[in-house]
Amino acid sequence: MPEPILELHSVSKSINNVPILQDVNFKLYKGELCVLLGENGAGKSSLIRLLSGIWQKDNGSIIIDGKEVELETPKTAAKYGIAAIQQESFIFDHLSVAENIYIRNAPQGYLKLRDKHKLNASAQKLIDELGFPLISTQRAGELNLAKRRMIEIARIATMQSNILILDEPTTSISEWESRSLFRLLREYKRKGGAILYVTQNIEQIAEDADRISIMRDGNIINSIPINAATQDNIEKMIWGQYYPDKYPKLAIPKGSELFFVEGLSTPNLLQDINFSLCQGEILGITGLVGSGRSQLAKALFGLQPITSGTFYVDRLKAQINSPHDAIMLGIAYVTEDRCGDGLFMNLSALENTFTLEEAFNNSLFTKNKFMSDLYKKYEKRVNLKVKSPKTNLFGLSGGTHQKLLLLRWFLSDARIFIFDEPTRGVDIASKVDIYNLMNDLVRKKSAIILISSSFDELVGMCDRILVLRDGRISYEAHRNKPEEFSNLYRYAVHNK
Amino acid sequence: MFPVERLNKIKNILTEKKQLDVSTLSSMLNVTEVTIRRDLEKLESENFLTRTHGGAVIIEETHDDNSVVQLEDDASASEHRKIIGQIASYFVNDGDVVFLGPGQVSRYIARALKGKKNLTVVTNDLLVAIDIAVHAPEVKVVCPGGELNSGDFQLYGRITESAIKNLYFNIAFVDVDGVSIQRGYTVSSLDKAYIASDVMAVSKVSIAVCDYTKFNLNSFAPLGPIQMFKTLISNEQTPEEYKEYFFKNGIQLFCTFDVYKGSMQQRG
Repeated sequence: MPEPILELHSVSKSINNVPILQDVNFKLYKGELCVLLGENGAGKSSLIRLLSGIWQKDNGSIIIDGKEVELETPKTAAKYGIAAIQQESFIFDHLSVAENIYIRNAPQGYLKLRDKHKLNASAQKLIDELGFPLISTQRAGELNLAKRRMIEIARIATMQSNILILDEPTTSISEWESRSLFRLLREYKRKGGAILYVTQNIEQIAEDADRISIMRDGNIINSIPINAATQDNIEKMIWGQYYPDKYPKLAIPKGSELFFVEGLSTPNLLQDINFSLCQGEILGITGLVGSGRSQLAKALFGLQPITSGTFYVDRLKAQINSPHDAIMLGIAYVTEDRCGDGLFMNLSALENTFTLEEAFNNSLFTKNKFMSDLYKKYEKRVNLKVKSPKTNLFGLSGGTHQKLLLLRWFLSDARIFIFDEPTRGVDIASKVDIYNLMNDLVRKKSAIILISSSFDELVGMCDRILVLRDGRISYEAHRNKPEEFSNLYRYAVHNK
Repeated sequence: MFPVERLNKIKNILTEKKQLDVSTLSSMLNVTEVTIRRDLEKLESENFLTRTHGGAVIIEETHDDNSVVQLEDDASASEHRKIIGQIASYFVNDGDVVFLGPGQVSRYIARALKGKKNLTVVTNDLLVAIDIAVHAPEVKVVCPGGELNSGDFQLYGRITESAIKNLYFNIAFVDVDGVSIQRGYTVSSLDKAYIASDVMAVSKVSIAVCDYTKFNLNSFAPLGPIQMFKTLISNEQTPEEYKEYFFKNGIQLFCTFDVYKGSMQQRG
């Protein structure tokens, strides 16, 4: 057995009192590629942020080469030989391709001065070896997502590291470029480096993997050698058993049609999406990272330009070209990125509740009083637990943030609610509240599109579930046919 | 003006004047007649008013003199229980045989069953029976025999128990008086506990109902452990530790959130 290069002992991390990682124990060995699998929100990306020094652990110890280390910053992590490719690309737009590739270790010329020619030449050589369609002198700002990813891959080859961490490195690049990456990884392993590879697409990397570790609910629950893995036992470990019975699902009779989407396509991703949505219905939408779930939500809310498609609201043709159009049609979008896109973190709880109400022209004098009365009334109804309406949002929990966002939309004229990952990073009690708040909506004749990567949640709450794969609907499952609800994962991954 | 605020204004004006026409309202509130019409439509769906040609008339609160005993809840308790009743009604299908256990919440469930087809309700609480007769007369009511407790108008004793044992229920609602993680579910008397156990033995589904004041409360007679019900309907004020406990242990908890104001009716 080779010796471990990286060890984690009882590592824990909480954010806003919500445990993200709980008591993680893990070993990575020299010369191996370990695939880390798990559903969205299982804690994979959080673990990577800890290992690359972006976040700091709360408890536990990290041991590299037998010595306990503190990974305080990305720089310290690099010092200990850890190199990482995060899910979001990390490229400097104003620098050239070559400069981006050699961001850490530029080849040095005479007197240790930067030698631009040498830099460009050796970058181009590397690019050609990898077979990437890049030009070393080009500015990175002009490149699309796929090419930026290629820069990051090329960068791996230049870094002096012995632990490589990759988070979904092949999203947005083609099969051909992925192969170059895998070639690079094999070389890395041969030299004794260890690789932790996070993905949801195990098939792509299975050939080069040595071991699979499964993450669930912030914990690494199991590790097995690749040759002991079958599709079936991996699926079972990732998703666990479904326990949909704990969800407060109400059997609401379907009303008339509220929303109909016909032939929706977006540039490069979504293709020919069709579905209808009726009053009282909760429609689930799922799929792996990159399948187009979030883009679909944005397209429905006018945040994503579409190439074709027709919308009907109340069976009337409707134009959705901007969020304003969508709001006027009664569409609400509860974003996945609560702090970034949803809430105004610099405003108070009260102000955040009424940002939409600017649309109504109310006289200046009555408005403030009216808003604070309304806020007082509703704050209790949603169990908000914010000290005062003037409290600002920093330091409030994920559950409270979500409820504030919900309150904003619940007080609007919306009838079609799009929820994108509504319970991620939310404590259990608030989760139960959020599901019950959904019931409040459907009881009162509105309809919900629930976008989620938790199959448990979808099976628990939805009447129908659409599975997206590579921008197309690959499967539609109905609540009254339980067998359809039990094999969602299969359609998210394979195209049967 | 905010729609909610406008609706409240219309309510106030109408409560005072009893009836009004659209054009007056439109000029009073400085909005178009189309908007007023939509508002009236919404208030009509809330049963606050009836629309007439060109205006609206308030629906006067009809006091049910028929109802032998009025519900004595204060407004907020009543609102909470009303929604428990509405949520409970989603579990009842046309053609079902339903048992409604004795208690205040059951009286609200009784009211919410209005409109169900071919329904039979069995109850040992005479107030529940009367409520159904008054508010949902199309529902068939069956009362078992037994000894009448004049204090709470409920039937108890051997006769009640043996009558219930011979029946079969699609669903039973058990109005519980205490819920605690350690002691489980409790009710106020042994008689009530015996009947509840008999009912659950012959019911396909059993659902506990109670308002939030019953948590962390131990009543006199134990009914069973906290896991005995797979579904509980209560209020949003349910303590967090219970929400967490139920979710982790695979038990459905329904809460009576009433936040969404409902949207204006169809556009166009």
